[in-house]
Amino acid sequence: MAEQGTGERQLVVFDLAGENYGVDINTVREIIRMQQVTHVPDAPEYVEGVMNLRGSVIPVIDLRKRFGLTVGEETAESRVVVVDIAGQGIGVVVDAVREVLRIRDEAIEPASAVITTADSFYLQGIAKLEDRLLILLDIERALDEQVDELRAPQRQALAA
Amino acid sequence: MALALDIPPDDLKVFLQEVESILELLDEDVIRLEGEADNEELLQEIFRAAHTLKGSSGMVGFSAMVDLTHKMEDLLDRVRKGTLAVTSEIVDALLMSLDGLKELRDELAGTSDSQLDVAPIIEALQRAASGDAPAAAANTAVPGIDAVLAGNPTLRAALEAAAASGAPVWRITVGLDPECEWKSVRLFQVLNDLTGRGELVASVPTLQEVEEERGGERVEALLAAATAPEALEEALLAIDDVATATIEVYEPRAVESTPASVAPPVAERGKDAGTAGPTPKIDSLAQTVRIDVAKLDILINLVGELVIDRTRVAQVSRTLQSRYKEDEQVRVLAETSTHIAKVVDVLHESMMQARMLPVGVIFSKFPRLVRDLAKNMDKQIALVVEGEDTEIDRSVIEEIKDPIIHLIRNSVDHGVESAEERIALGKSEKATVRLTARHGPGHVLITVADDGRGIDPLKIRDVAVMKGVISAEAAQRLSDSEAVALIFAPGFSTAAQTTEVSGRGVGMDIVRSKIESLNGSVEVDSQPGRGTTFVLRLPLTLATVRGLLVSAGGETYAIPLAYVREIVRPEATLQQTVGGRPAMQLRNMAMGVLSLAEMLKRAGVPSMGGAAAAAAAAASTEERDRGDNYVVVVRTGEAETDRTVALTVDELVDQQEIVVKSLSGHLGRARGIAGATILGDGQVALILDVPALIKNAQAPTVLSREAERIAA
Repeated sequence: MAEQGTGERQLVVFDLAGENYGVDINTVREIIRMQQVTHVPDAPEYVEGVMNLRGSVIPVIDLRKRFGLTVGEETAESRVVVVDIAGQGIGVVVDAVREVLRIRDEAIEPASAVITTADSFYLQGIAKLEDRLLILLDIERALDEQVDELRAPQRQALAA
Repeated sequence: MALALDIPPDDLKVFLQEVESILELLDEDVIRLEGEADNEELLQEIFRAAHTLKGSSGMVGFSAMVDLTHKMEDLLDRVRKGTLAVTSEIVDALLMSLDGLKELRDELAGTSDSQLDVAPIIEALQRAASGDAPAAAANTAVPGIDAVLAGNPTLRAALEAAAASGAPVWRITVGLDPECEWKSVRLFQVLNDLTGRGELVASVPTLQEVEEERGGERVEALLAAATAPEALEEALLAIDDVATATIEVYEPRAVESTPASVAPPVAERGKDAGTAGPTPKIDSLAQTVRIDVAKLDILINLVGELVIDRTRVAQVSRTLQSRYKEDEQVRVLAETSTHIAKVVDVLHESMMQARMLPVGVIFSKFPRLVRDLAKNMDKQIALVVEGEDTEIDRSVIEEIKDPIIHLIRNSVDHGVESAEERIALGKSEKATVRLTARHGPGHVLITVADDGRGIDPLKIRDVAVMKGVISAEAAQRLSDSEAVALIFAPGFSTAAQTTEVSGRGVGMDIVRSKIESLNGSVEVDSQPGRGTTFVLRLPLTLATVRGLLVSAGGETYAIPLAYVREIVRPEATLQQTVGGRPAMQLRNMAMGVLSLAEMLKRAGVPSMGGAAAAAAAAASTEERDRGDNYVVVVRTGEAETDRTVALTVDELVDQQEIVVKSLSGHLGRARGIAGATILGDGQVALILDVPALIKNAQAPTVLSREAERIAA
């Protein structure tokens, strides 16, 4: 999964319900402030609606709802991360965007070593940073329409 | 095995496109020829098209196509010269050749694996021509190039100009192998090659003469080119069948003294021979550029964005103007904004225009279809096509071809009687199927009309009842025109036995749903014994639609105007409930009332229990009672039997041209939503899919059950 030859990867790091997530920067098209969203009847619950991204209409997904997390309030820090899935833009609402990080492949543990739920299939792994853990999302899988419901990754104590 | 010729892919593409347009032209013309045997212009056009095809296929070395077109040309030449009259046999042979050419084209394009044997077709052509050997192009003595120059001051001036430009002028003489089968093709190649190397000042024969097969087997040319003579010679000898090529520096040979009378009249053409295109053109191809549809779509999307921004800028400018009335800069902004708006509107219109194609591009296929169908069924039918120039968006054109084919087949199969039957009825032996297209305001009307037996409403009622489409009592209550409209019901087919022609009863309902999916409608009108007319009403484009913007439940929605029957204030209606659900009476029509806000909230809920339904009814009644809302009466289509429903909305916002954007995945079923558009303030508004909304929301009540039964 790592970029060939470089031994490291670049991640966009964002907050969601108090945890840190990272997605591969290559899947991120842009990061924008919250926009007005038009509700779409009959859409799945985790779909906020659609918004106008410079003339195209793209769906906006609430990742908290997608992961079954507590519903958060929209704040001044809230952002829409526009990711590119098979050429199509999808807006993902996150609590805040923190930074762009370079992480060496050695710092990444397979998700199965840390997480025991069956939902780990949409995780690429867990990165150990000095002071925290970073959940690496396989955003394509996390947004897969075929999958009805996702549960938030349950982290086990790793301190030991 | 697919054919592979040794030419670059780009050239192949150009060649295939050329073949395509010529075949289209031929398809149409050959059919016309049958009825207009005396039309010399038409004959010329056909001959020229076959000839061009022969030339081009020779250039790419596609021998099967050359053989075939060569024989076509022979045959046509005789007809053209009047030694042969146009017979149905000739037309058949020509059509057979066209089919063969199409197959060859597919082989070359790699879409067909078969390897067509053209021999039987050639035989048919020869039988049709049935006579002696083809008249070869006259190989009479041609005056030399010096004589031509002598008689043409324009050419001499061109020669002097070319010489003055510094490039040496070469006198080139090329002789072909006398055994060469396609002399004109080779001569054309020679001249074409020279054209690419420098300025072809003059040639004997000229390019035009070569094109018209008046070439012989030798060409003399004057070329101004900074190319070494050895290179020229090599290039010329590389062309197949070129036996000799001599290149020498041009020196005038007694030019002045040659009497002018020797000059052939066609020499004038020589002055533009140097700039003549590499391939002969036919008129319909002139002055156009082919462009990838994807590129066009990108441009149209960009213009769509400009349209949205234009509205936005105008809004901001208005706000600023009211805020800073005296400010000079704000005034300039307002002027600029107005100007931008104008330019963007024109740009938008021009782009939409660029997407337009004449319906002729599909209509041209139908004469052949009708001819073949009629022949198969042993009926005599004339197809009259009108309004081929009517333009319609290409996205619509692609979608309506199959429905029209189906309607035509239906007319030929079910509508038109056999010749004997027609004579017995006192009708003309030959039936007429009339296909017309014309513009209406904001839409295009396409009609398929026949003068056949018409549709018998009694028979339709019987069949419908028998097939369980409708109950016997309901059938009796239908008017005749409503009964005839039952042919659009799913699974309905009137053919006593199915035929090869119009299939197995999966017809009219598909036609109808296809047309409706395009925001269009289809109606049928039938006079028993006199004929049937189908009318397709189609939007000019799918990219934009006129919409009524309404607000409901805090959101703005767009309703395509095609579905809006009228807008009324609630006071103008008589409100009531039927079976516990709100309904209203407008003039003498009763219809169900649905609150748009409620409906969209619960869209997708399959069915509602009595209590929930009552609650919803109460809620929407409440909403109506709030005062300032409107009732938008919508219908699913145009026909009288269509369902009509009243939608209550909070506000009417605007009526405008909206750019339709499709909704992507991740939005669930989104039933009742046809797409989205972006409003002037940048907000996204959903476009309602009225037929689906009504279908979704209509729970079975006494009223709607009846309506449904009628509509079915």
